[in-house]
Amino acid sequence: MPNSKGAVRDDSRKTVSYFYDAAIGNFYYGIHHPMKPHRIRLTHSLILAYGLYRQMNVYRPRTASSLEMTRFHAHDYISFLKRVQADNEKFIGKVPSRNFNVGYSAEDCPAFEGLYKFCQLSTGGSISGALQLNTKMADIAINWAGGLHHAKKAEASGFCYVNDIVLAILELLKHHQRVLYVDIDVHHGDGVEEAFFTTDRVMTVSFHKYNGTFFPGTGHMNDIGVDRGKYYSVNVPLHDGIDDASYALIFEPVMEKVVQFYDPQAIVLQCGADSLAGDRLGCFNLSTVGHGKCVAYMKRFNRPLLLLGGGGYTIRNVARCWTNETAVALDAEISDSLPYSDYFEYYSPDYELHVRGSNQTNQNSPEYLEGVKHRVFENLRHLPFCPSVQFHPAPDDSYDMIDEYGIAIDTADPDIRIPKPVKDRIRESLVDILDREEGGALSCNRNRDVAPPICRNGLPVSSVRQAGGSKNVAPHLTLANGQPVAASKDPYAFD
Amino acid sequence: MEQADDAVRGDAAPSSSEERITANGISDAASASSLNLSGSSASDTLGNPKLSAKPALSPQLPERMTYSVGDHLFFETSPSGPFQIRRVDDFVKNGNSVDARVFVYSRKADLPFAVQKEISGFIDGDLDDSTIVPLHQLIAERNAPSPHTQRQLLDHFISSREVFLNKDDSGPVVETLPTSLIRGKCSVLHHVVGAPKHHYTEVADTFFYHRSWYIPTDLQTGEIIVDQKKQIQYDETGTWYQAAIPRLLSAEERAQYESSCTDKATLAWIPNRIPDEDILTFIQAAIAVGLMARCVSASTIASLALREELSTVSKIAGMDCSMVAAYDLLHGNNYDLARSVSALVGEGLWSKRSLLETFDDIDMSFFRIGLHETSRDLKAIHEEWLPWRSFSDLVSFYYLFKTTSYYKAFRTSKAGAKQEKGVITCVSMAAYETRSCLIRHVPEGQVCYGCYEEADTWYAWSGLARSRRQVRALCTSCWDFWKRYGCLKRPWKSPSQSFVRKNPTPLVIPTRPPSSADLPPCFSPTAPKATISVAKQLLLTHRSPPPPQAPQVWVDEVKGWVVEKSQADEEEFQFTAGDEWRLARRVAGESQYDPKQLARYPLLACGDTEQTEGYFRSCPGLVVDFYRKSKGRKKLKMEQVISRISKRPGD
Repeated sequence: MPNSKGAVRDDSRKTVSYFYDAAIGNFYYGIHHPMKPHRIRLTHSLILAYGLYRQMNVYRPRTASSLEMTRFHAHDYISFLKRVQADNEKFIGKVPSRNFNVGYSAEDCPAFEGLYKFCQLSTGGSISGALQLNTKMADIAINWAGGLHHAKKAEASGFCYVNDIVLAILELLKHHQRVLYVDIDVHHGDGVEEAFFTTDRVMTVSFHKYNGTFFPGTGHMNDIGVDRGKYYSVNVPLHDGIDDASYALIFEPVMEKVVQFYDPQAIVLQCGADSLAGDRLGCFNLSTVGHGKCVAYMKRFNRPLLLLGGGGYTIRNVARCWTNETAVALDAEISDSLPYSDYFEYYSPDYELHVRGSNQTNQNSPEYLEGVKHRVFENLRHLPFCPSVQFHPAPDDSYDMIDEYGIAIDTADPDIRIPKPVKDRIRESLVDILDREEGGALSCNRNRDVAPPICRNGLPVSSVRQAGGSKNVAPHLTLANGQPVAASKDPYAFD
Repeated sequence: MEQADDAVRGDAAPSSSEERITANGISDAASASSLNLSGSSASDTLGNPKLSAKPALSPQLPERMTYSVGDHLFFETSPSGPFQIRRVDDFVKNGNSVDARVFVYSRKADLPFAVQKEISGFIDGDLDDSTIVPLHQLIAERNAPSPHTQRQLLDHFISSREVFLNKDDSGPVVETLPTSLIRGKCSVLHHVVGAPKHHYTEVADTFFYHRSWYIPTDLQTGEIIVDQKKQIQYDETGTWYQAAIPRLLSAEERAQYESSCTDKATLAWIPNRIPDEDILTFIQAAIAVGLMARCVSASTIASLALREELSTVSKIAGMDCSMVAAYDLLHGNNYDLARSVSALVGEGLWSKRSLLETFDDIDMSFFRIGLHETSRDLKAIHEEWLPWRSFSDLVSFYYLFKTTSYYKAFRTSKAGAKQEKGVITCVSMAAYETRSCLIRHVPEGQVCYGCYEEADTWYAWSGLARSRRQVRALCTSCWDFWKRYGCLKRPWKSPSQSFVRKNPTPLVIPTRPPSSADLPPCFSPTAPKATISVAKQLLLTHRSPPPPQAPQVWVDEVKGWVVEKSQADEEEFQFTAGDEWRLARRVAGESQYDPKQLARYPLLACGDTEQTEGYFRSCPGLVVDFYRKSKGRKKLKMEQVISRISKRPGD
């Protein structure tokens, strides 16, 4: 069987999980409302057309239950969301003593048809993504339907009803001591910052336009958190018209310092596309390349990464941006000229992937950025080198084993074909023990570098990971930690 | 003076400036024709920058400037005064001309005197010459500028860049001004407290604001307010706003977590199970089969028009939903190509019906009518025209429909209608050239009042004259500066420069935040910067326990960034030593007066009367001894020594 790639996939490639439900594009906030869930379908259409779809694990997200939502949100708020509809908002909106900022009185957050279902889908994807990062089924999880960062504990705000980011981070916190949240939306990520304002287990970093009046009005440089969370909220206020070069000038050093000081075990990146040039609500001047560079930069740190959507109100540019970022996550090269897709006409007149910056003036002087950076660093200096109870993160099992394994391989006798450490760590896959009827492998599959899917609870176990790992390896050989054996070139060497 | 007034070729009336625009090569007298109105639809201005970057100006007239909604602009409301700074909220058609509805920014000089005094301690010079710093002082220091003068100048420039947003009960104050008064663009930045202000002076036409001028509707006076910044809410218990943080799972719990995670998402695709070629071949096959299936049973396509066009049909067969369905088929068949292909043709021809096919001609025509009637309100279309369709189908269809040429034509016609209605998003007009207030005849040897340089062109400047008109001549660059920033290139003199020093009473370290009332005159918080050179400046930091959540205080000299301070901390103190103390400090030996020792206790009062007296008491002949030692043979009397020391500007 000829291998289309020709070479063994390099192991630096990440296992990417992508969450998409076709129904998400059918929600409609209302006429003239800038938020259009259709943009997620538009992105998906481009991802399909570019063939990125078949390079990653694709999932249909489940719907999040109200019980899951109440891990963060107030019970009465969620039950209100469940009941509210366009035609009853006036009646049930009056019942609760609290103002949830949903419905006829709130222009930003209308009670549109299927509101609760929409929240369920967007939240379900993010939580599933977090679950996959927790169980190490994926290195990068993508949910473009998520990233609704303005929602508060008991209040909708800025087109956001349920804060899927907070819920995903809460899931990640079960397995990770420290989680870093980065927000490159043009608006301040106030909902997430508020949720984790008093804790040191989540650090929130937001890059946003700030002038005191721009929505949501928060995000002053001096807001750094309180109590245990003091210095664990980082705000980088920016002025209009920031371009790629200036953005990199502030984003990269700040993130480098943050990761260096905070040493997060998982990263959540909200990729709001309203920071692009020509956005309907935003006022920054980033190109898709500059925006995508932020994703590439965060990916570089090799931590479990959850990529979420967010704002973005010129929908064709949103689709371009997130398609590009999906390709960045996959390390895939895609051409600048758009392939034909269902919504090809949206991209007239140039039909190109990348959005260029405009000639908008950049109001951020290098001195201003330098000053902001200096202040952020000043705050970061207050961080204890490793926060919270543990002084060093408990070493992750798998990393530890990789290390031992590497040393053993290095010192092994070259004349022995299968060194003992390798032999010790080979375990028989269930696939080879079972008969075909019981879920075993097809014998013909052994020719290929394919592990047959064996599903527990409808999901593949270690085989998914193995398939993503290496091509020329016998399918049934897996290390205990799920790492594929890459020692031999002959797939039958172990038989 | 009269002559100068006569020589002024002022043109105050807005109408004449309108004519000026028309004279700039535009034939029609009506000012509307001198403006390029681009009432573009949302998609044009807000959409792709590649579109909007299309030059609105024709290449023949490179001087034309385009002003759009949201820009900060200069407006010339009086020919002799500085430009007014406004932000365009909206353009309104007014007969043949165009008016701009604007938000108002005030300079400091526009505010009432009392408020100006409150802000900076003095009123911007508007009475006579004496309120401007004499030029000889500046010229004298031009070659060897003292840090004090430089500082004063910088403060002057910074204060000329600060503006105040006018507000009243209903929000920002809105004015309507004719667009013919527009004189150019500027930018008004929001000042983040703590950021260095001098950066604003480095970029031309840049202003900043962080305070607002609030005018209650029924009163003549107002107040300066600092906009309350919105804060992240939190409570001690974390019940109302914060999330409850879950515990980190132990190893056993993790194992259990992994095995019990049953509610994961549905897997739809796994990469790298079969080679890419196979996938592509299969998808092509699936599309081909789908196309064939549609041709075989054309009746599944509801629309007649669609049925006729096979190309449309093939397009539909290759739509996203078919592709996804093909992927699903492969995945469902365990990535076995043979089984998948057989599934394609096994039980009849495989096809995935797209939503587009389910809309028949009647549905489509209803949709089109609805689109026109309700101007794209899907909710109304659903309720009135297509109630038998589910709303989500309609949304899906609507977005597909947007790709059609029919929709494009529909939008173009709508945009045209919008333009006719007079919605204007930007205005393009000739750059403003002519200047007012030119002086024709100037006496020989005239120098510019602002910079004392000679010039060719002169402008009549009457300052912020409110009481007395006294016209001065300014050179072009100073006049430009005046029009843009509302001041000269030299600072207004603050009245505090004539401050009279008095004998200080000993400095007492306050136990509570000091107010100006309980400090001696020379420690007054309003003490002018002008006396810095003759006095040692002390910055006092309160070490009393700060109130909870009080902002931290520190000064970063290098970067020039000062962290937000509480009101009390912002006051500056200066320490002026009394004559006796100066004498004592000079003559007392190291044992009594050791600056290094004193520096270790910054909060300890030095120079109080008791200490001084102590020195003199301990060594009665101290002064005379000292001078005998240092000056040798000269014999001095005590009074002489004191008078000599007090004559000197400082230690």
